[in-house]
Amino acid sequence: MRVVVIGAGIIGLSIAYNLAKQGAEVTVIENQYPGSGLSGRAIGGVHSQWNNKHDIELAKQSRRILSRLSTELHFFIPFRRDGYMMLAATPEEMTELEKNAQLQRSLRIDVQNLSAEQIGKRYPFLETSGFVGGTFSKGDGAVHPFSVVFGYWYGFEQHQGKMMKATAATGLTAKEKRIECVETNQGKIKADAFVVAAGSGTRSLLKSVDLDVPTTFVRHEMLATEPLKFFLKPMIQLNPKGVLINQSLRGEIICDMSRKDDGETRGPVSTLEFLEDAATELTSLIPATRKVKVLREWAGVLETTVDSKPIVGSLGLENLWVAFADSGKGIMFAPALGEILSKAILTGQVEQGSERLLATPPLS
Amino acid sequence: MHAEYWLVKHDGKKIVCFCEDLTEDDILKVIKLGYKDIESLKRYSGFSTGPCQGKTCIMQILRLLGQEEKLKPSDLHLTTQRPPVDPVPLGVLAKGKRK
Repeated sequence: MRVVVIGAGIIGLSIAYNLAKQGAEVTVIENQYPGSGLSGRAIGGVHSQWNNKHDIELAKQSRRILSRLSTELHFFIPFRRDGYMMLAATPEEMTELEKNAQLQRSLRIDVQNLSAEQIGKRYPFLETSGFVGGTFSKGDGAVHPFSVVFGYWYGFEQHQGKMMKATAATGLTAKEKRIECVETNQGKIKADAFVVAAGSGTRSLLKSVDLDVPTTFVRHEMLATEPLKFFLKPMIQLNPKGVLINQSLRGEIICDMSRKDDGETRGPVSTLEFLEDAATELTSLIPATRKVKVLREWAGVLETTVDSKPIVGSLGLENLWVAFADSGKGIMFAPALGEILSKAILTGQVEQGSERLLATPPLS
Repeated sequence: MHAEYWLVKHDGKKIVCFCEDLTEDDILKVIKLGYKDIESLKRYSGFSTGPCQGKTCIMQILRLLGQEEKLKPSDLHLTTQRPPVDPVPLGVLAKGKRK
């Protein structure tokens, strides 16, 4: 079976690797270089603290796969399971977190509710006045995003996969409910099945076959500081502001903040306002970082679906598969999506028990 | 840095990236592994991600990549340059009163 995967992000590569491993003849088309989109801009948080069963199951399966991925791919993927802490800045947010935690516990995720005082005692470097409490999941953590991209890419090429870098997919051609070929700047490419895993390019690509995926584009900005001795053990997410803080294995403190819905018009641009906002958040949460220097900032455009749920499935066309994880969840869902979707593509049917993971929200 | 430094005969241990402690041999090894575009090469090896943000190393890396892959200077391009130009302490950027 010949399959074309559009997009060499973490999702595209995970699907491509799993397909190639099972003997399919796979070509990956990538606009720039693998991981050039959001996958390489992500800060790498992997958590299962979602508010719906569907997302929790996917994340749970993914983190299990991530733990064994190094041995499977023969490529070192440092997945650090030091925990993931969600902090609530307001009492309303705390109620929301507690409600989610209840659902997570019912699905066998080890999540604890913590008061601000408990958190302050456990992590003395945190200034507790900025939050009222939080939830902590000890099986979650963070992974270096590029190691996952490179790992899947390596595994994919070990199974005779073909990577086409700097190849832009410009449109799809459909005939009688089937996709015939994908048009690229290197010519048309025919195959038996097509996977669209183009991240923020998904919407424009699907428009060429009259499918509209309702999405908005949110710009995120990130910064990295100089490397410090390792101290920041759980990855931290401050809600509802959406501030993410992680210390990479190289010691850099990485901070991500959601900006505005101007991703489509402005693209991934870096701003001084972000540096000021992020510095304010970081230094008020971890006062010891005041003297730490920022080395660089970068940005990424997140495409989010209307209901913040992933869009995965065939969307009514026989041999078209869309894998779109929604707003930066790619890294948390890709390992599981790759395994589930590759089986579905090869057999034409969804494995029992996985149907709910492939549930697709209605399209407009 | 003195220009003559780069003219030293290659002995395998010539450092090209001081922030991340990468030698010429390290970079050549990464290119041989298949990371042949400058962006992938950067992310696999880690050059240009330290305090200098590429200001010291990028020309050396481009030279190595060009030599190794037989590329013309016009085929080589820089990695995206990110702000700030020089490292800035968070406390300088943060709003509000200094404690």
